[in-house]
Formats: sequence, structure tokens, C-alpha cells
Amino acid sequence: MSHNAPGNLPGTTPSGTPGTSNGGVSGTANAGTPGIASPGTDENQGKGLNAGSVGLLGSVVIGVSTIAPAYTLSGALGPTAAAVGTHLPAILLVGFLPMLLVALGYRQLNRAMPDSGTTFTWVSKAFGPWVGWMGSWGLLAATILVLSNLAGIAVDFLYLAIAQVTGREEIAELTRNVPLNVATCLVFVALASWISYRGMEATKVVQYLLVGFQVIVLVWFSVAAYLHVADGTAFEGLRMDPDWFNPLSVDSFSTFAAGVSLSVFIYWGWDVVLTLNEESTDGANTPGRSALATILVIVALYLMVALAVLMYSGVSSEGVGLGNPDIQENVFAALAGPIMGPTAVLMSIAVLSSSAASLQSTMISPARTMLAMGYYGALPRKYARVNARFQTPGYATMAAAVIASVFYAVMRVISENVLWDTITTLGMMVCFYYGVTALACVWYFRRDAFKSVRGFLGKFAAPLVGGILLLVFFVQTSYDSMDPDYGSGSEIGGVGLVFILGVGILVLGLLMMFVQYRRNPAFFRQRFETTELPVID
Amino acid sequence: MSASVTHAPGAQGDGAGRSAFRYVVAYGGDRRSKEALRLAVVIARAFHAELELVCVVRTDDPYSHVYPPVGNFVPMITRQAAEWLDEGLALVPEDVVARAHVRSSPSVADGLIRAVEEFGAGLMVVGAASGKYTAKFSVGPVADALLHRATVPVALAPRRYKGEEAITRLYAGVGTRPGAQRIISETRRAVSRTGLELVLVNFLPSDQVHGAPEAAVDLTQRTLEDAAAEIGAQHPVSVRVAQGKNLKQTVDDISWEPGSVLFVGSSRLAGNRQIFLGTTTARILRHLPIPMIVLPRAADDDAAREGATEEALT
Repeated sequence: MSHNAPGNLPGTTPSGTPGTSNGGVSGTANAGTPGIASPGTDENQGKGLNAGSVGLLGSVVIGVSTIAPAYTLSGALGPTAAAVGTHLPAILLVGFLPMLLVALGYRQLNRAMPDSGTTFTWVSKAFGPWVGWMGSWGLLAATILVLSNLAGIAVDFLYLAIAQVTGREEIAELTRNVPLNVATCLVFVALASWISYRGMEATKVVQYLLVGFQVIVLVWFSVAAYLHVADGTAFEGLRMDPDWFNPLSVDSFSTFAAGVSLSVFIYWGWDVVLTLNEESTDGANTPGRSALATILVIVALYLMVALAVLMYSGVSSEGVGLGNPDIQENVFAALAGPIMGPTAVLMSIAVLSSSAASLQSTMISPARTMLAMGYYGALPRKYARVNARFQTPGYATMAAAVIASVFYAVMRVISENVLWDTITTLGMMVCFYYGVTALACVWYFRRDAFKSVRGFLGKFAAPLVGGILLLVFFVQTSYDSMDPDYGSGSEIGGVGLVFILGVGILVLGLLMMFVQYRRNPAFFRQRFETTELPVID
Repeated sequence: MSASVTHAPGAQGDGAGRSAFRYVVAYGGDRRSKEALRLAVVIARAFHAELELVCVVRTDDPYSHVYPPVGNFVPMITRQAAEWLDEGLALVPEDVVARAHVRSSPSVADGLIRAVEEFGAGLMVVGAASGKYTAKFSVGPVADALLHRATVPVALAPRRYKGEEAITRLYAGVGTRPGAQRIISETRRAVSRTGLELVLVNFLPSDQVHGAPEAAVDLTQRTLEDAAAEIGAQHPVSVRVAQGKNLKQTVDDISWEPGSVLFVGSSRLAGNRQIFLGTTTARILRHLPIPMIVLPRAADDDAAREGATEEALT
């Protein structure tokens, strides 16, 4: 029954003084400042997670569920293989490094400024509101892109699964019917946004089931592929070559950058495990153990599947070769049948459940980012509206759903390889906002990063190197994507569609920022303030 | 209300001279929260209690991650919750003492139950209504959880409850099966403290009566009269057997006075000191135009209850 936890900042919630009639509410004392009062009202109130509720296995499950391996691999293996060919394993190994370096910086920022908005609040604090706004725009764009891609993959596998269950192959082709495809996709997005709006959450049991099922199916798929290779019944049946693992033998830096920015998307999201550690009771003595376990599981899983696909299919542009543009944007849809035979329907269910679950958890992300931006005046105030009944950002959720739907519908009509193009653009966007955020970490901690070796590595060196790498990959990929042959080969007026998308989104962001500046210059003129906590190593 | 006496030993801990009962009001800024608050105000006036408005901010389940991660969202909602509570306090009339608190919990129902323990509250008030097209008392998930787990009486405001009338009358749903004793003793204490007019009611829909309806009505009438006699002659007590073809018509058979509440007991499935809404009660709830207060089942023996309560408070 603690009333005011020691160390609470001003404006936190004391329980009302007994006897006062209609006493003021806790937490509103400093309502004028833009910063958010600390949430602490009770000592037992954690930072949103129950202390000690997640163990080692739980962290791994959460980490694997955030990256949604079945969905991610299905959508991203093809474009990555198209970029780097047989060096897929090397890129998966190397692509992880900048992610890890940046995530270490994220962890520090998350401890220092735990309020919602991440990139938005952190970058605004470090570099000021203009850069913060653009960084946040990059995050928003990435989440909208991934939403439409997730929904697209879900639609493909929905019809594929129905075809496999009913035994009528023509049903799988329905996904190529553009109006039907768009309509189905809109249904998926509407369902996901309704669930998010109602504030319903996946439970522990659901996550264990989803993750367990995905991992089993992916292992099954890989083993079956290896068996085909061993029996000589594989499509291509390549032998493993140590050169596949050598990133230095990738033919050009452009290729390398393209591969890495895709693998950045592949690993996107696992860093949530680093913030989970923060919350567990034994966090102090085993800070990295569950993060390390998660990393190992994810990398092993990805390598296993990538090698299986590579050895089975090869990279030729015929049939189910990974170089065939017809299968690249959704490799499992093409490969599960030949590799797994009659059990291929399990793969469809795995990808469908994985993308549907991710669709729902991804719907929350842009809504919360917009909520934070609306709250601080970086977007119109209506984005900050919180539904009283469900405690969810209602307006922002609907806005995210509408934007993602419109984006998907337009893209589906103008591009034949919409999934491929969105994945490639997505990789660029993630590189951009992760890179900016990592540099924000370096700048934010510039004064106390040199007090200890650990602080230097976590707050300065790792995010600096990671951030610069990601931004270099971003610039290189942007430049290369101007080529109309880049990625899937979609183009508008002789310029690659990926470039138009990626750079177009950022230019649109600049325009929106100036519109918002005209409407409400206060946010851009004042010093950005948020709750800051001291970070002690 | 008598239930407060037995369930709120914490009220004495507030200091000398303060014996006010505390009621926890589930408040979240939405329409049904306001209905709950209106009900809380009229009950607080009738039973001389003070209100603790509690807004439970839901924290994320760690297994329900957000992809990509966007940081902790609770502080922002907490701020919003404080604004809602400010609005709520402004709705409380001057003569009722009310305070507001934000609490966070992975589950709203859990947060409210913890708040009841924290404040040593004797009653919890929730707005039960949800859904536009459902009947008056369709219960939302939070109220439903409370109606099956709370350890103090739960008061439910019906949809569109205005709270314009002061409470002048208690209805008490008295059954003919064992377990009715609890409601009788609670009701006796409640009317002796407040001097409210009391009506003992029993619902007797004809589709649930086997054999001659007249005999069943007579039997029920006698049971109610016995109960009325037990409650005592110093209070104005009347009895009423509601009849109808089905439960809905039976509930409609009574012209529920606007300034009244219905006391009902818990199912015999309930654990000690716990609420568990019975199926008939749940169905009555759906057709009832006035607020309802569901009492937890009595503990098997009082000593055990005292011990358990002390434990819960330390």
C-alpha cells in the first residue's frame, strides 16, 4: 500500500490524502510541461512488464515471435538471394552484426528514456525536433510497409492453404486476381486493427503455440530439403561450399549493401529481448544470457533454412531456382509443395499464422508512435486520443490501418512484384531509422560514455559503428535502387520503383513535417523534454 | 452497508474518529465509468461512505509484444488516466468525499481487486453495461471477472443509469434454497444502519415451476414472510413474489422504484468470501432496470475470515 514510492519525480501519483474532499488526482500536478510524469504510483508497478515474469525460454519465445521467422523467411529469402546469390549464408551472418551493435545502443536509450515513442523521443531529445521527426517518420514508414507486406503474404498463403486443404489448385491462383487480393487484404488489415483497437492481446500460451509450431515446421521443411539433396531428388541439389559463408567474396559493395539491408529487415524486432532482460528479476547477474540464447536460436534457425533452400533450389532462374523472379517474393509458397509433399499445408498454416499474428502486433506499433507524436505536438492532437474503454490510441490505430490499406491497394495495382518491392524498401527504411537512432544514442550519452569501458562500448562504440554502417548501407542502396533493374525490376519512368518508394517516402516526410510546422510550430521551436532516468552501468 | 462493516477493517486504520467506509469505483473516463460513478455517489450518500476512484492502466503482457518495439506506452496512458480521473472528480457532488488514484496492472480486474485490498474498501462499483444492442445489463469482461472473483460486494450500474434519485428502498432477492441466510443477515444490517425501506423479493417464472403454480407461490410467500419476520418488526419490510411466463416477464412484474437497488447473493459455487454470479442472477441482471449489488458468499466461519482478511491487508 505504498503511496509514493521513494525517488518518484514530481507529479507522480500520491494516493489522495485521507479526508480531503475531492482532492486532486494523482499525476496531474505538472500538467503544463510536455514531459510525461513518471508512471510510478506503486513500488510494485514496473515499467510495463511484470518483474521476473519472463525466464530464459520465455525470452527466446518472445524474441522468435517478434521476428516471425516463417513469414520473414518466406518474404525475404527470395529478394536476398536475388541480390547476393549463393552468399546468402554469409549475408545472414554479417547482416546480424550492425543490428546487434545498434541494439546495444537501443538498450541504453531504453533505460534512459523509457517513454513511448522510442526513435521519436530519443532522436528528438538528442538531435532536436526536426531530426526526431524524420527519424520517427522512417519508423512509421517502415511499419506501414511491413503491415502491407504482412497482409500480402497472409493473403497468398490463405488461398494456398485453402487450395491445399480442398485439393483444388486453382484456388491458390485466386491471389493473382488483383481486386480479390486487395479485398482479402483489406479484410485482414481491418481484423487486425479491430483487435488492436479493442486492446486484445496474445497470451503466453498463444505465443508458445505459434512459435513452437513455426519452429517445428521450419525444421521439418529443412530436414526434408536436406533429405531430397542427399537422395538426389532435389531440384538443383547444390553441395555446400565454404565460400557461401565468406562475405568478402560477395562481388560488389552494392550487392553487399543490398543484401545487408534486407537482412536488417530479417532480424528486425528481436532487440525487444534486450529490454525484456531489463525487467527480469535476475537481470542483474544474467544480463545477456537470454539475449544471447535468442540470438543463437534465431541465427541458427535462419542459417538452417537458408542453407536448405539454397542447396535444394540453387540460384538458377528456372523452375524453383531462387533466381526465378516468379517465386522470389514468396519462396515458401513455391517450395513447400515440392519439398514437403502432402504436408506442405503445414507450411502454409505456419506462414499464415505467423503473418496474421505479426499483422496484429505490427498494427500497434505505428499507432503508438503516432500517439507519442500527437502527444508531443509533432502530429495533430487527435492522434494522441486514447479510447477510454480500451485504453488504446483509437484514432492513430485507424489512421495506420487506412494508410496501410491504401498503400497496399495502390502498390498492388502499379507493381507486379509488390511484396518484393515493399520488402526491399522496408530494408532501406529500417536502415535509415535504426541508423539515425543509433547515432542519437552516441550523441545523447556523449558525456558519460567515457566513464567506464562497458559504458564506452555500449553507449558509444557499438552504436556508432552500427549506426554508421546502417546509414552507409542506406545511402548505397538508395543510390543503386535508381537503376530500373534494381530488385524486382519494377520501374516508373525509367527510375527503379524501390528508389521512388524509399526516397519518395522520405520526401513526403519532409513535406509533412513542414505542414505540421506551419500548423503547430511550438513543437519545433522548443527544447524537447521527456522523462529521463540516470543510467548506471 | 453492513457488508462494509465486515469487510472493511482497514477503514479503522485511517486514524481516530474516521470510521467512513470506502468504496472503490472503477473509473476509466468512458460512459459506463460515469454511470458507475453516479451509482457510487448515491450509494455513498445512503451508506455514508467515501469514494476511491481507481483507474487501472493496463500494462502490456510481455508475451504480447509490439513489432517493431516502440517503448513503454504506460506513462502516456497514465497521464491520460489522470485527466479522466480529474473529470470524474468534477462529477462528484460536494457532499461526497472522493479521491482518485491511478494504478497499473496487466489485468484491469486484478488491479481493481488489489485496490480494494489497498484501501480496505467494503464495496466495489462498476458500470456493467457494454454493447449498444445488448440488453441493459450485459456485462463486459472486466465486470464479468469481478463478478466471479471479487471478495467484496460488487455494485453494478445498469446502462444509461442517471443516478438522479436518492436511494430510498432496498430490494433483496431471497431464495428458498440454503444460502438465503447470508442475504437476510446482510440486509438486516443494511436497513438497520440506513433505515431504508425493504422489500424481499423472489422470482418465480412459471416455466421453472413444477406442479401447481399456486402451491409454489404460497410456499415462496411463506418463506419470504418468515424471512421478513426474522429481519424484525422495527423496519418496514414487505414481501413480493414476482411471477411471469419467463424470467424476463417475472422481472418486469415488479415496478422497480427508481430510487432503489437490488441485493442478490452469490451462487453456491462461490468459494468462501467470494462472488460467483449464479446463472439465474446473471439472467435477472440482463432484465433489471435498477442497480444491483452482488454479495460474496459468506465465509464458513467468521474466525477464518478475520484471519484471512488480516493476511490480505498486511
